[in-house]
Amino acid sequence: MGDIVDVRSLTKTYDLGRVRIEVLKGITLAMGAGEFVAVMGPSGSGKSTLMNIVGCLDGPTAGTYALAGIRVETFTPDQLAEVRNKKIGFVFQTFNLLPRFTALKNVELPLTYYGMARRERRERAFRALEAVELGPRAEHKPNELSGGERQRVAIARALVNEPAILLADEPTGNLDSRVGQEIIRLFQRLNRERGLTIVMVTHDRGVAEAAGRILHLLDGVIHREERGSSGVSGVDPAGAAAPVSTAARGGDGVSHVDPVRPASDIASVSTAACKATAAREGAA
Amino acid sequence: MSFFESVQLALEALAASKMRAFLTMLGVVIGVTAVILLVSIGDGAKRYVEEQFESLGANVIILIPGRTQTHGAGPPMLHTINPLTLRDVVEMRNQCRSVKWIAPIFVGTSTIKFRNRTRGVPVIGATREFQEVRNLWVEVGSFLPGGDTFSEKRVCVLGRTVKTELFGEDNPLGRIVSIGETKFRVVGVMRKKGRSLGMDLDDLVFVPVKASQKLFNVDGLMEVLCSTARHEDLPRAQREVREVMMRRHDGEEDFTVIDQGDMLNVLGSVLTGLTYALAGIAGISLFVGGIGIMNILLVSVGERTKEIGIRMAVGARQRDILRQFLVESIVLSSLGGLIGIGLGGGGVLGAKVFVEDMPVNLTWWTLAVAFGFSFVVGVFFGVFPAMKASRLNPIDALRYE
Repeated sequence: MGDIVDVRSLTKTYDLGRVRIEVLKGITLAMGAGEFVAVMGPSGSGKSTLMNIVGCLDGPTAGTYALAGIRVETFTPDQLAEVRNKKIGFVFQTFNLLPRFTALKNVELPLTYYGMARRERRERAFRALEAVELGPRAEHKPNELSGGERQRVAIARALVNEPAILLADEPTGNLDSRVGQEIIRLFQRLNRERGLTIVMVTHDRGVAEAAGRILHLLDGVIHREERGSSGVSGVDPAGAAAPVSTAARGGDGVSHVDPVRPASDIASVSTAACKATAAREGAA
Repeated sequence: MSFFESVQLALEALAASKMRAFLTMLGVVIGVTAVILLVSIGDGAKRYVEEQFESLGANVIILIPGRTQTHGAGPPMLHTINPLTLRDVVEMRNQCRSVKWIAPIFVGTSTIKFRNRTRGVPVIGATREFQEVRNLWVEVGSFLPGGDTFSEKRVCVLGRTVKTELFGEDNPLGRIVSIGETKFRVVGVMRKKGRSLGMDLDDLVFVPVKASQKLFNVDGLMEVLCSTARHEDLPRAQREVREVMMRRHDGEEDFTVIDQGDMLNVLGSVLTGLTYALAGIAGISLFVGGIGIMNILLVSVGERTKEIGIRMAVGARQRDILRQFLVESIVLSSLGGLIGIGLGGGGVLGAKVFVEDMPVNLTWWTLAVAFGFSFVVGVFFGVFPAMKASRLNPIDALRYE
């Protein structure tokens, strides 16, 4: 099985008339299926631009990008839209839910553009909401939900199409730390249970630690790579492009010993969400 | 997304700001209402004129003296060198095979007097055939004599109004009245006909054509009406009349043959043109309404940039966004169109009920065209905002606050 993300010599230059800004200066990155990668870096380092390109919201100036084996760097806007629809789930800092729509309708949205019949859409959207434990909130509108709930609705929306990759841009940025931890644990659970590939941009070291692999961007290049405290799920990491994740697995045995327990530095704030996770796994 | 869902989505979006949607629609509502009202009135007027003409007999050609190029039945030119005469009429009756009825007419104005009551009336010199050609019939007694031997008998037939004014409820048959200085015996009373094209057909007195010539001291006729049995015979009848008259007038065409249908067509096309002009003026407000829709949609696209960004992020293609806003525009204008149809149609029906004899005519065709226009306005004025929305860059749209 190939890599989910295969980026080679990627550059992005913005032409602002008189000035040309080179935001990404040659990024090569490979991510295997089931990896959980955090991207850190100061503002202006190019992490948002990288996320936009990985998320097929934007195309690179040069270089290649294959998402789940599909070369997308030359795609038209409509083709990119289709890739986003079928292969990518987004989670944003500001949730980006449609305020007039109920949680269920928000989650349905990607399926709408998928061309799925209404009944099936509703069923799948409801299942996605249940997966984030928001089944009872399905008919609530975003302004009737708490921040954490909104972000979970957004996650359900991101997952409803069963994407190849989930992209999270500062997913905890607008949440208080306790709720943020719940969201991160949800990511970990999805990563572990479903083998969901996740890329998460964050400036919060503690949040990044939850990932299996942390990329540090600086001035448009990957400046440094380290392993996080959480393991990746049992996916073949043998790909040459993912050396750090291999290291991460070797160095962090916790997740293999007890997948229910969260990574050490998060354990102290472990609360209801954790128990819920345990209960869910017990039932399964 | 199905068509039905797109419409539902658009309705939901419009329902989110009802007041704005209503005000935006208002332009189209007024435009459609005005188009329907004005077209109905114009169409009604045209039909009214046509009906009036048809009630005065169908398949009629009119022969008048003098060389005129216009289609209007101008005033008689009594001083023409070759007036139309009763001999012309006899000749035509003998030679024009396609003409079924032929009615010489002279019209003058005089006073009619019975005992101490006097009334000024148009006096029509005619023959029995006049009834057939003009579709005006005697009700009581008999009409004027006919045939080739034009009678000079001083008899007259009264219109309804004249009879009532002079005799009240009394029976006028056999009574002697004075027309001008001449005594006439009343032999009949006409059936009530009402007004037509600005003329009261009940306020007339009919006398034999030759008697009228004597009465007004003239030799000529004002016009000769010829009618055919079938509509298809009209052109041939017209040709025959012309041939006979040319021969009779030594090859000089000092007369004019008019097809009443042609007159009607000219009048009809004038009225149709007028109707279109009115509809066009009303259409301007439809156009202005469309600009209002475009304006509001542009505002809406700006306000909902974030929504567009979100939709694009989860996979909406450009054409999905285009469709969403275009459908919104069409729903807005069509809804306005439907309300306009309700108001305009209701207005026309109301006018019919409350104003008697109001010449309005509401057709399905008018409603369909008015609605069609409102739909087209939605498409036309929705395309630009919808394109603008669909071409947003998803990243910028998402970042928009």
